[in-house]
Amino acid sequence: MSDVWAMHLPKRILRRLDDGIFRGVGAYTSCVTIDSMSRTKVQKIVILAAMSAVVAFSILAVRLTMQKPVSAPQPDTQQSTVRTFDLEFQDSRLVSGPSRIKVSQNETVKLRVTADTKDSLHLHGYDKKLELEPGKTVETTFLAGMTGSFKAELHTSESPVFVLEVYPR
Amino acid sequence: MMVLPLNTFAHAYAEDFSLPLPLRMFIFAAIAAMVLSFILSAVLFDSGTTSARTLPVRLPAKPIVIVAKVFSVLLLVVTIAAGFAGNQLPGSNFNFLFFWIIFLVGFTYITAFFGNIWEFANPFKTFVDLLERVTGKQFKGFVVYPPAAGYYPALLLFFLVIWLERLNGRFAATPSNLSLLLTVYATAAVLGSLIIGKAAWFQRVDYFSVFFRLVAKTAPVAYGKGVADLRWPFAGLLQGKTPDFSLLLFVLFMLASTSFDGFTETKQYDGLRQMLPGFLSDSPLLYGTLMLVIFPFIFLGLFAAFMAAAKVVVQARQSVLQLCYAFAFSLIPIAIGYNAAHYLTYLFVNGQGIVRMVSDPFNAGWNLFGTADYIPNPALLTATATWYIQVGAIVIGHVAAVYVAHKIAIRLFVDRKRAILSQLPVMALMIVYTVFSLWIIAQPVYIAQERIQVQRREEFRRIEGIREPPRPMPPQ
Repeated sequence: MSDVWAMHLPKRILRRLDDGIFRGVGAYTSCVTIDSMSRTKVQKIVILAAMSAVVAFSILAVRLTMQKPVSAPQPDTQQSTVRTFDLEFQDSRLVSGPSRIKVSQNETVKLRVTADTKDSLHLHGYDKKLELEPGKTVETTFLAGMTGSFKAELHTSESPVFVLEVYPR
Repeated sequence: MMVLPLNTFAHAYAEDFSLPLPLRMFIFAAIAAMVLSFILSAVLFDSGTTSARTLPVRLPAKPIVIVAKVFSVLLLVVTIAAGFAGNQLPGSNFNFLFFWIIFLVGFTYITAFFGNIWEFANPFKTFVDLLERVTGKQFKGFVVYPPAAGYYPALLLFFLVIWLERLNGRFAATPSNLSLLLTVYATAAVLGSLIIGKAAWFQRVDYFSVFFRLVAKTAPVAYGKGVADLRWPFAGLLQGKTPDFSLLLFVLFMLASTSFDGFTETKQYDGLRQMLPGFLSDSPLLYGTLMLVIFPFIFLGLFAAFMAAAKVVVQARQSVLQLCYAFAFSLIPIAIGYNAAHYLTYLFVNGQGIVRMVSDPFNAGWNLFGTADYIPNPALLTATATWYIQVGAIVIGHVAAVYVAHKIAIRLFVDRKRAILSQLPVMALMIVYTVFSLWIIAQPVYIAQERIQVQRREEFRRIEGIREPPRPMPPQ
């Protein structure tokens, strides 16, 4: 118990922690060796399973965290990256363009929207409203300053049509 | 200028501003839950008393009781009146914001920290109390409540509330409908108290009472007659056990309903729908209802399976069902932890509307507290803060659950070694629940882009009476 964090704990708790851990581990092992055979087997299997689960999970964790996240933030020097997304709606459905738009915080987002009917598109959180006209392309540009997940919907559609995800840098 | 949506009903509930939990945090949290479980089981091995210890601190609770009673009746009256008198757009009506967000979500956490305030603040009960005083006789009922009915009425109401919230949002979000429902509920409480007696109604039927009583078991305070006794957090969960199958189902539904809420927004939920036969996959409402019915039973099956494993490991003489009853309360912290993670941004972002509405509850242009012009800030919680709070809530819930289950086991099995061994399957079960919770909050919102949406749009148009504009000719 020479870890730095442990030095801040009161002595009494420390002693308990030590005792507890050793006795606890002792109890597991003593159960396995002393008790009757049939139970021993079951217990052994359970303990082994639990331990291997932890090991497997740790290995998996290490391997996965080693990989670079897919949506790796852009270098900080690129202050004003403009990310353009083209979206097309037919019958109040997204027929072309991403239904999940991922950007990093402080990137500039440009949405270019085309629809086949008169409609209005509302992006929540950023509170952008686009009046769509049949066959016309309407666009909006804004700075994605707020992090979070923001849904967009058409006036004629009850469920969201796409979601804008702004990740922290 | 309004930042939050006003013109839609569906989003009144589903609005969730939290980003999917990043993989590294998902893994970190899962490992933390696992490691802490094992450390805790070792530390708790020789822990002493198993009874719910109260701390030697007793506070007078009379003032709180009186304030809470007056306040809650006032709030219920304002909530009902606002729904009838005010704006019918959910996001700008006091009634919607207060009932569905502040009360149903926010008050759950207040209860978890400050105890069962609802027990004496329950406005429905106050109505009945007042009627008793006015008429001069006690509502003891003339029909004996059948013991076999258990907590099923409360469970049914719980199911209805979740069903309304998640699957039929448009109906219950409309302020006048909500006011109507609350009026019916208040009337039912009075009639029910007359028929089966006040005690039975608020013990077995009133969903809010049963729900908050269970949540309050985690609180570090218990209210007695006019006093508040402090106790260790979660100690209340060690008192008693679920007495019958209905309350066991209720506890599991606490867990399942929130998971269901999160699960409906995942790709897998939609994928599952598409695998089903036509009549089910065509109707999101029917499919959702079916899933909501099935969900608690999946949790029950899982719970029973791991309890069976515990029985085998320690060769317990108790039946699997008895073990389920004994350990059910230990699941409550997991339910609350996940609930907090799930509704966090909903409460803190959408809930901000209430700041504006308290100054003008009836949309009459008032400005009682000078906050009528408050503009909700969708960026109140940054994504990073949200992630940490979500993970914190889930891991704390998990650790508390493991702790409680250990204490229950020590009491149940007497023999320390068997008690500890019985906890391996229990811990495994809790890890499964916790990882599932984490998995759900790590999922992005899935947007189905297919025919279902067209159908909904047609229905929407029919209801709203929106005329289809003439189709433009496709450009050649």
